[in-house]
Amino acid sequence: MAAARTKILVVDDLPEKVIVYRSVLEDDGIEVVAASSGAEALRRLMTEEFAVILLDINMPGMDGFETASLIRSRKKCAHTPIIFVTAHADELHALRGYSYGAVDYILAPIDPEILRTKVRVFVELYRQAASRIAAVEREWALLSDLLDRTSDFVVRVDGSMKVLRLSAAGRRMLGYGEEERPPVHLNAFFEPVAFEAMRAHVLPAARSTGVWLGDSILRTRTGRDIPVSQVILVHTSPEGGGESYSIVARDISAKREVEAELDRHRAHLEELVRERTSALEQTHERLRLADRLASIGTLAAGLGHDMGNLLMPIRMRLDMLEQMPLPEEAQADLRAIADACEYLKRLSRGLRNFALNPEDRRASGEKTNLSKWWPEMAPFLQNVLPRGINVESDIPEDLPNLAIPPHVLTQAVYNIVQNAGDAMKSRETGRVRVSASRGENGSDVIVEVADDGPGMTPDVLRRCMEPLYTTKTRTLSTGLGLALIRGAIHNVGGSIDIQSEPGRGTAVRLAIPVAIDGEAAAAAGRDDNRRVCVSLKSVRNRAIVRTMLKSRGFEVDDRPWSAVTECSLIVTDEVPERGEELDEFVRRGPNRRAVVLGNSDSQAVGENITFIASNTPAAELRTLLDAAISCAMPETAAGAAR
Amino acid sequence: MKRPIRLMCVDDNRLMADALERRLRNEDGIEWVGWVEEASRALLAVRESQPDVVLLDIDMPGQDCFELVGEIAQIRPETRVIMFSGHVRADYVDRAIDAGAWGYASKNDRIGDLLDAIGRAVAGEFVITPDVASEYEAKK
Repeated sequence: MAAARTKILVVDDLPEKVIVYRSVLEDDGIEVVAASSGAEALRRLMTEEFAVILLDINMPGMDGFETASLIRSRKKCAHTPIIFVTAHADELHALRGYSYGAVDYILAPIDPEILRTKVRVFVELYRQAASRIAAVEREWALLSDLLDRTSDFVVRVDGSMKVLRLSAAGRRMLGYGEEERPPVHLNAFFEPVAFEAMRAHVLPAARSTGVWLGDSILRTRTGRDIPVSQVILVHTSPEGGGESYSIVARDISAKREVEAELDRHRAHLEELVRERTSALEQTHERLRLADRLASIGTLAAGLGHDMGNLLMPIRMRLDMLEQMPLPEEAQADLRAIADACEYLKRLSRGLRNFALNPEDRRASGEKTNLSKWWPEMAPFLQNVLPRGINVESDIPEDLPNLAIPPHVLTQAVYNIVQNAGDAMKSRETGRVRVSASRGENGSDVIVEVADDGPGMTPDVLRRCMEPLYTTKTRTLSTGLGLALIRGAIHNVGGSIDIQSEPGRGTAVRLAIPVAIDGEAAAAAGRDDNRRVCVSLKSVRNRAIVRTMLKSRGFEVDDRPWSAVTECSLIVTDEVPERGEELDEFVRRGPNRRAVVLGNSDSQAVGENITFIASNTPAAELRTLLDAAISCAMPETAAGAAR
Repeated sequence: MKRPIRLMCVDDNRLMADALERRLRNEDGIEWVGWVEEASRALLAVRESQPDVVLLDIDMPGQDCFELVGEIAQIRPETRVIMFSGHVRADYVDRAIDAGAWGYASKNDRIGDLLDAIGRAVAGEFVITPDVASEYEAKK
């Protein structure tokens, strides 16, 4: 295909001159377009492009200079070369022509060779330029295509942040449709803080180095933020006129999510490690404390035992001395020594109460009689308190037994009193009052240890039962700590409550469940049901069974069981010779039971009659008796089960 | 008048035994037949002295005293052994019963309580002194 011919415009009002131009210039590569006036030339220039314009100066109406001036004022053809043609070779005209931006002139009559040569120079220049432009346009189209095919957000902006071009992927990323016109200012594309950071810090940095890499945040049309990793390139125009920028950004939200997920995992893992470590440390500390308690308990109990053993001979000798006829003064001295021994004996018995670890489950089931417990406890308490701090007590005699082993209560109260003593160490005088009273609901007894010491701040009060929390320097003590006291009290179904205010002392209240035991049931007026008929031929067995039953609070009737009607349990070894009578006794009431102690289990025993081999170990015998009792006396079963 | 109760003490604590002997020697109704310091010699002494009651300490070197109770019962069933200790524990009382002892007395109790227990054991009771009773009651 032949290339389109290059057009030149000839502007002349004389048709015969146009014919000359055509004949001289037109050939395979050049097409001459004629305009008969300046106005027509301007019209042509609106729609067509010319390599050069031949412009006749002397035309009617708009002359050549005027036409040239108008041509120059149009952007599209401001640089199109103009060759003026005139018959008057005066310089003035030529100069005026140049001042309008013409590049050349030709004098008429035209020398065809000169005309052809001049025009060809311009045509050649035009062709070269056109070919370069076409190459640039092809390259631009390629780049543009490349830009639109990339999945990154790419934007070109000028120095004032005005958007020059936005890539297709960029449009999609920000949510602008194909036909939609995106905002013209870059700030619409960014999250405001990120944009401000870019404007104030990033671009200046980019300008100094030419390029900047980093993270930022884009904002979509709908306000959603997209974290991006971006590159900013700074372009400096060679002709001056300021800088422009290319920003290439890539969506990294998926990466961010993965990072966030990893962070969450790591945080979770760290949290787990912290929890486990702390649990381990607490367990370790509890074990250490429990171990120390056990050691101290063993030591204290051993000391108590040895003290008791040594006191016995002293007491016996005192006993004898007291029976001798001695002067009054000597007798008074002996009484004083006996009193001291009595005190030491109680101390020895009290020390015995430290024997067991309060957390030792084997000890559960034991009861405490407060009025017996307190006299053993009191001497210790005075000893752990600083001089001048006195123990006062109010323990009524008529309180029921408590469902807590004595040594547990001892350790708890001992530690609380010790704490009170520590708190009042710097004081001249003070008091610690230990009192007991029935709880409001009657099912527990409140043992209160109250001091008139400095009290605790709300913060200390709030934390004082946490394991390992202390306001003291760690020194050797029985080390139970309020946390362990609480644990031990909770173990027996009780609770601990502390009231304290700075300057108003501290009161620790232990609510301890009442033991539902034989004595309590007897006191409640069910005497008949507490009666057991024990009819055993073996003196020793009788004595042992009596001891066991009495220890459970039962009344034992030694009369022959046929004479006893008001009991519901018989323990006997008079079977089989009186088996029928026993059967009859059991049938007379729904809760009647009999326990037969014998030498072999081949003996015929009926319904509701329990057989126990007489060589059964004592501990097991007690359990079997308990079972028979709980059938015969269901209302005490709860007590037996506790 | 009743024959006095022949009493023997097996205890490795000389202070205890001396005081006991001193206190009981003049006690009406008690005949002190001797003190045995070593558990290993207890059986021989029982055979020779034929006591009615033996007060037997429970922690003596080289001997399980609960076993000793059974051995004494074998060679002389009439002799009633009462465990005599500063250790007061319900499970020890159970072991004493199982071993065939006739009582458990605490060294923390009064001498009067001890004498009472000795008398009742001879009369055929299984005896525990007040200190032991309070411990035994506490244990369900």
